[in-house]
Amino acid sequence: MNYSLLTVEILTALLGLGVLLLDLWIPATSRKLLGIIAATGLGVLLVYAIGSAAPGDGTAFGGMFVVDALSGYAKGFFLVAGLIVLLLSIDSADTIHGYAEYCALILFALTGMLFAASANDFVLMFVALELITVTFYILVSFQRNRLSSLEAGVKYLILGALASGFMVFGIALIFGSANTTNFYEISTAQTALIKSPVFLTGILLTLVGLGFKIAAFPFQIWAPDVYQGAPALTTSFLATGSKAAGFVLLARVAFEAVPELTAARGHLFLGIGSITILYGSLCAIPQRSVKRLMGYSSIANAGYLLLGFGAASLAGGSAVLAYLGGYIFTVLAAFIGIQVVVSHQESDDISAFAGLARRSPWMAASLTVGLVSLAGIPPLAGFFGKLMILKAVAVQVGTSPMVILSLLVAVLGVVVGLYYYLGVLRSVYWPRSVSDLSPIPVSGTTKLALIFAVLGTVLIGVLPETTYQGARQAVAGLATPKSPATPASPPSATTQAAK
Amino acid sequence: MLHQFDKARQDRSTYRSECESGLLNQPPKARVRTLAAPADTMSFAPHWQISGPERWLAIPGNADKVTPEMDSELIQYLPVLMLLLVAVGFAGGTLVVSVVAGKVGRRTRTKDIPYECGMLPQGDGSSRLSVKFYLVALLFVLFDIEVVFMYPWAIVYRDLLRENAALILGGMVSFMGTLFAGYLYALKKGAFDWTK
Repeated sequence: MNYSLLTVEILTALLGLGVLLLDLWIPATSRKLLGIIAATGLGVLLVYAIGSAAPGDGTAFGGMFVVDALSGYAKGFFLVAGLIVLLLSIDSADTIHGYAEYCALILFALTGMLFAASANDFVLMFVALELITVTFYILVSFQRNRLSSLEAGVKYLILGALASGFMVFGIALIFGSANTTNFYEISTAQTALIKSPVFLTGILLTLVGLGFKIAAFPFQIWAPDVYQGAPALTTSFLATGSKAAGFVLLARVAFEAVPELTAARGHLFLGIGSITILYGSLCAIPQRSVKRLMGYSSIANAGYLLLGFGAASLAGGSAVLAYLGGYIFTVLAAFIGIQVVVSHQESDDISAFAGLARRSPWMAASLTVGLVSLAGIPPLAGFFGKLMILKAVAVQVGTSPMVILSLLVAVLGVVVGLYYYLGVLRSVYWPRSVSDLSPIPVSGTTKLALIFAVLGTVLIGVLPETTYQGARQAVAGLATPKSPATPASPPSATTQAAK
Repeated sequence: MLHQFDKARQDRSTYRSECESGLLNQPPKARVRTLAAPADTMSFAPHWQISGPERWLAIPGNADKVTPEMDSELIQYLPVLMLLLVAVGFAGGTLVVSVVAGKVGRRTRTKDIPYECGMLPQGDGSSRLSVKFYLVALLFVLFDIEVVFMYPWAIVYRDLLRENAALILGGMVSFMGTLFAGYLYALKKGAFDWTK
């Protein structure tokens, strides 16, 4: 077994443990150092992960853990998201009670995302998702003295536990009917399996668990409350890393484990995606709280990504991953502005953003790039992603009436999106009434995070080819057979005994 | 005479060599259906202790492969359904019986108070506990539960050391290392300072 495949995961977890322990010996006045160490370490890991990319496919733990184009593609984005969030957190080092734990938890959640990107087995998928979700229960309710943070934490905990329960029950049914939980082994037997009602129920229940992670209709109910109640830093990581991990896993299940089922039931994804877009877009219109608005925006975007799954083609899958890459940078760019304003004003009402263009041009620029990209205006990443997804869906016109309907809904969602995203920007640039025009100070680390996020959003929008090719290779790589599990050696002998 | 552990170990290594040669994954050439032993001679020995063609059948899961009809798979869940019916029936039945029986009997003030192990119920139902108790529970996991994992590990340690030393030692070292980090954390955070 090749342990070197797990280098990034192991080092990320060790970095988290190291930060946790380091806090015990350094004085309380130099907490910022922890964030700087964590961010630097993650930066080094990111460079290492990109530098050591394409070492060839490989599997570990009897085919459970896989390194392929998709895992490499997703891990890069996860590490960038973790890096930006950690950089952004350095400013709050003195206000967050338990900053070392906060950094460590972000790194542990990131470890879960990295494992999720490589999960090639329903069991590892479940464990990775639990690692992400359980750390997020704590991260969401981290401000223990704020009632709304606790409320968000409890809501996330209860609904998350329910979704995990659905998922693990689904995995049990899948194992009961397929006699394996490995994605590759399931894919070799899928033609017979997808006729079995037990297996289909299992897949459906697993999708319930994943649907919760990505906040797709009808499992979206937690998103606005949790996004609003959680600290803005946590929300930014929840909206990018956690959501992206859910989509990467969905891509693995849909395109590697049961591609025939995805192709046969594509209209289901189109239907759910359309309803999700409608719900997210329409509910976002009356929102006054920007964090809550981002929650609904996150639901709407999950809908667009699901449309890509509905296309059930190479183009659809690559469009999903390309959109996801741009989406991470876009949302982080928006959240950098939100985080700075919220921590300065202690309010996330749209009126708190009034006159931001004059108070802090940096933050106004970041927020503008993020929201304009989310609204899907060229030449930013959000436009390119939506274009690719709608293109992939549009070529399927004629196969099902659902296709035209979902295209119409998607266009409607974009139009509605223009209204509510630009509504925030109107307050930033052309406020109705401004009471406070004092400048908001922006630290160097925040500027660095901002440069990463804005640069990523703009570059993916202007030069989409690299991202799209990476995404295309990642999806194409899913169809190639993974080396099957090693013949009965002691570990698999125990799995046989378990059967 | 061999100690029973040595015997088991020997059996296991024979079994493992057969696994590696792929012998065990082949169903016997003879018709498998005839292999199903009569109920009275049914052996519950683990498959590595059985020789001959019955071994393939004794591997858990293989017996099901004899009858590959996929449409009867729901039958397997019949016990689950029965358990569900029993559970719902018991819970619902108890409620119904207590309501019905409660209407028949005589009511007194004493009978109407909540039952609490024969004592008079007093105070709030949800009393608050000191956070120290939760701390004790967490420390218990740190110091005690890890032994649960170390015990089976120690049993197979010598066997697996020959096969994959990095896995058997590295696995436990990383596990203990993580727990040790937790121990240091608890120590420095003052979790053992009971007087505070």
